[in-house]
Amino acid sequence: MAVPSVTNRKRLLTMLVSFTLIFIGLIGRLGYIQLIWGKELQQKAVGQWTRNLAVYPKRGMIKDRNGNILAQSGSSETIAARPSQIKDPKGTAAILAPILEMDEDKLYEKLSDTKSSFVWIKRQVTREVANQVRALGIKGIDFTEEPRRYYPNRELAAHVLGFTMKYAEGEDGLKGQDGVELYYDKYLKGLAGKIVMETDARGREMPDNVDRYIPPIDGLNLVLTIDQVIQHFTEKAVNDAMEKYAAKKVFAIVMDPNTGEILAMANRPTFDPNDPPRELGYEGMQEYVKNFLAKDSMDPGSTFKIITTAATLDSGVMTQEKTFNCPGFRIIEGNERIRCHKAGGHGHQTFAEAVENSCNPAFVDMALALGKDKFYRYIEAFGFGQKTGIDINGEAQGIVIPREAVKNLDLARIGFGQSISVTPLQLIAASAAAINGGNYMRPYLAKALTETKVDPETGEEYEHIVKEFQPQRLRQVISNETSKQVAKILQGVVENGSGANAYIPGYRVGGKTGTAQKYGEDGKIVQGRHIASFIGFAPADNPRVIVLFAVDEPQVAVDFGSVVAAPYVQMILKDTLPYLGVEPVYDEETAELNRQVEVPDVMGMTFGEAYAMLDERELKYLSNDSVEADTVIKDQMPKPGAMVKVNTTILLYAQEQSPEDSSIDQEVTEGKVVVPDLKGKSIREANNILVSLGLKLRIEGSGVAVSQDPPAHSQVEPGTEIMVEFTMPGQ
Amino acid sequence: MKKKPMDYPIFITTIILVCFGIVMVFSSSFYMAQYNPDIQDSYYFLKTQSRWAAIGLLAMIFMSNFSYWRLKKYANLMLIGGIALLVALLIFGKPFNNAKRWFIIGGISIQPSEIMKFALIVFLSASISKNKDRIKKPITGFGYYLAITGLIFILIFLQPNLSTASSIVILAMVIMFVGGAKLSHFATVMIMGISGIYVVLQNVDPSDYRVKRYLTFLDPWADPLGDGFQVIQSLYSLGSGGIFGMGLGQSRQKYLFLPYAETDFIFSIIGEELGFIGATLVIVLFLILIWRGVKIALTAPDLFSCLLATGITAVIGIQAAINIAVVTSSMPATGLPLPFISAGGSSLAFFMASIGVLLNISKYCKAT
Repeated sequence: MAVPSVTNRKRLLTMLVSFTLIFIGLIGRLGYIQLIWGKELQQKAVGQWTRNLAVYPKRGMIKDRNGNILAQSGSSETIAARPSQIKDPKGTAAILAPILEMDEDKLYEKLSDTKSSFVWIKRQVTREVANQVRALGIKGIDFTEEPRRYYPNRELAAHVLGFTMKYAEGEDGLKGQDGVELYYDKYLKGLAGKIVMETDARGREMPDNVDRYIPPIDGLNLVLTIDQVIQHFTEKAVNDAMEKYAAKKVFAIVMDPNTGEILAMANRPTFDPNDPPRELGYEGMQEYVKNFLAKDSMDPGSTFKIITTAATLDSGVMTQEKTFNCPGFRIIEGNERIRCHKAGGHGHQTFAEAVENSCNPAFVDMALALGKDKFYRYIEAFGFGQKTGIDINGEAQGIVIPREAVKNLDLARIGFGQSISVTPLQLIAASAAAINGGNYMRPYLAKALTETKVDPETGEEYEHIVKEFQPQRLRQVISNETSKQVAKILQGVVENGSGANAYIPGYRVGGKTGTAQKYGEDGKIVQGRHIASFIGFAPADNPRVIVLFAVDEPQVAVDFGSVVAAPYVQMILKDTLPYLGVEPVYDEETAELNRQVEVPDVMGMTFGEAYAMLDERELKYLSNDSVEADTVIKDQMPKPGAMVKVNTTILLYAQEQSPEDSSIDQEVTEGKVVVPDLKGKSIREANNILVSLGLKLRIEGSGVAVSQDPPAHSQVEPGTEIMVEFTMPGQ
Repeated sequence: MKKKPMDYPIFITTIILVCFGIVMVFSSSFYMAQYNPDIQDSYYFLKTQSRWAAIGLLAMIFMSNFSYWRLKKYANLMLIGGIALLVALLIFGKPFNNAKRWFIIGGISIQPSEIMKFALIVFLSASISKNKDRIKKPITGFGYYLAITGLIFILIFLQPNLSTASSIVILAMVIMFVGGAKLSHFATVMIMGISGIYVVLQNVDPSDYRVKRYLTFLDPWADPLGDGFQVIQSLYSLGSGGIFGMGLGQSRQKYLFLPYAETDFIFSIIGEELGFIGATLVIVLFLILIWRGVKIALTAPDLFSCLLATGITAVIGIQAAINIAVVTSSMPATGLPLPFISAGGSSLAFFMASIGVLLNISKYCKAT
């Protein structure tokens, strides 16, 4: 038998050494992995051992200045699934599809996706649907709560509030996407917490897992300068104007002129922030969600004359004693003819009359008297061509022709509100400065950030103020004295001039009308399309509130600001002033203004005759520019016999207007008025019709008129009160 | 011949490894076994491993008393039988996971390649010791053994099971080396082999997924959810263990993160639960086995015993080294179990039986 040789033994030793070296090498490698690389590897491993469930913080509430809730966070149920735990995806899909109103095949696809440990089935379902599914007790179907944003007042102040994302995402939860929801997102959103759970590789909780919970920090509450009640008044007005004029857009701002606090802000068209029209895509949504008041600029038109007036008086280039002569036009630079809106001109006028008449040649004179440097200094000081600094993302800054490029013709046009582009917000902020004593206040929406805290002793919740936003006086634009003069002149515009429709008995209302041109895509003026606007404030001697109201492309024959927008400013002021505790004052001055006169019958007369008659009765008149003096009047508003206060504007028509109530042929007793049929009219419409007939309205309920007393077609004394019952449609 | 007592260090080391293996198999498998829909029994692997350990112990005792010289007579028969089994497997075997590796007879899975491994050890030991000079002949000796090894390689490679096929080639080379083959022959084979690999590499598409798979160990994070997945999970286990480990039974990776935690990657769980110290101790135990095995071979009464001891020692060393190299991402991932420890059924019994042979040889060793 062969015995192992020396060679065999040597080689055995070689084998032993080789193995030893290999194993020592492996120990070295192991040491490197476990001792040096270990920390990093373990960190990565920990990441896969745990599952973090984001715990969303509660997004802060948004409240109005009086603590009324405008936006709040709640949760809604969401149905999810763990496909690996679903025994019978096919059967489950068949059961769930009808309850969730989902496609069965799509549902099956989700339920059988065993590669995913977790899939959404349907997000944000109603409590009832969730309970129905819960009752089935299917293993592998999970329920979670998802945060959701609620706007209890729906469209109210939609453009101020903005909206958030529909579904919470990542750490940020429901991110704000527009309005103050976006601007104050970082305060509202809070800080996410999480639940850390130990799981196996499939996401199943470990047998001995103890969840680690890091609580979220809730967002701060945002208190706005908005007053829900004034916002209601404003929404009502814009709604009404939108409907009445079939306008393209309507927008309004109500502001405290002394602080810059925005009390109300409304745009039409609007949207419900609970469900913004996301299906239209970002661009498509803008028509509904964009806050045009701050993000779009327009030609201001005659409302800008407030600024020209203030600049002229403050600079001292003219005093109130200055008089103007208006032949109906002005020639600039030798050959450029600027027309006045009144054919034939206003003739000789005082300074105040020129403003009351909104006489273009007078403002051309003012602008040219100021000259480029002075006028531009005021334009800049009044904040045009710059952002106001309001707390809205994407504020526009308007367009002011650069000082170096501006010609006298441009300057003349700027004088009466053309050749300059401004945002409605800039315009109201500047107008506020002109009448509040000369202070340019930064307009703002956020009043305070608060935190809901619980008193440890009483257990009651209270709001702890974290940050309060103070009014910001950016600069003195004109002197206090000039401002007083401007306010007084503007009060005259309402009491004697084109702003008469904004007059409220017992209040000193100041204001200015505007009828702005619109420009087409080519930059040229589009004929027949206007933005009718009005800026009004009250009380003129101590302004508490200033209102801008504008109607874009009203579909009416006479689309002047004085006719279209002024009544709405009056409407808002009439509601707001008593609400703010500003009581009407009936003194000699207001009594005189309140004097009632009877509307004469001018139908059948020529326009020329009618003008003379109405002048005599201390009434104003308005007609389409194109009529000749000898055209015969076919219709008038208000109707003959109505009692109106002096200086009310009577609309004269060369064509027959056919209101429904006049279609019935009826013998009318002398001195009596036929009661119109008001069925189906809104409160505002009913009121307009009755006032035009010299009748009074007593409102019962709200909504649409369903019955009235006295009944339609009965004949009553002028001034009789008609009781009309309104109910909400569908009730 | 006068008998001595058997080599106790080997016996004790083996028992320690097997018992430790049962504990680790249970620790690494109970969660998986509970959740595996086909098993749903936490103790399943504990039971099977214990059963095989008992069978292995019986086999070890039997082999330590069975006159191993008798194996010589059956050497050729064993080789032919082993090859026949491999051929039969390729023809009649039922594939699992696209590979034919097992015969299932009466609920017990038998790996023919496992049998082949030991049959080859016996065949080479017997054949080389019969005529010491034969192996030095290039064609009829060295070439002949090489051809047989090559045939076996191909048969196992076709299953496919490259790792086992390769480990058998290495095993054969070690036995032939100790058996006295000429170094020049090895050199020739080596050059041929390297040039062969070179030619293959020249002709494969480097973006071929098979090629990529063999290279993922260099950077497992290049494909963390694909080929790199197992190795990354293994490194996470070892890394999490640190120096002292997370404690016996405290592995987190065994919660389905690490695939094959109870078989090919059990060493990672050892590293995670018992740390660098525990894992190193396991390697030391293997080194003790190799050291004692080599000592037995050195003092074996004859060349057959010597080569038989060499083969048995080598097969343990090779498999342990490859397994640990794989889990530490030191070489391409292959599927070789860790001897005595991995859950693996018949494999454990065969290893214990071969330890029995080694113990038997030790009884006839010359005193040193």
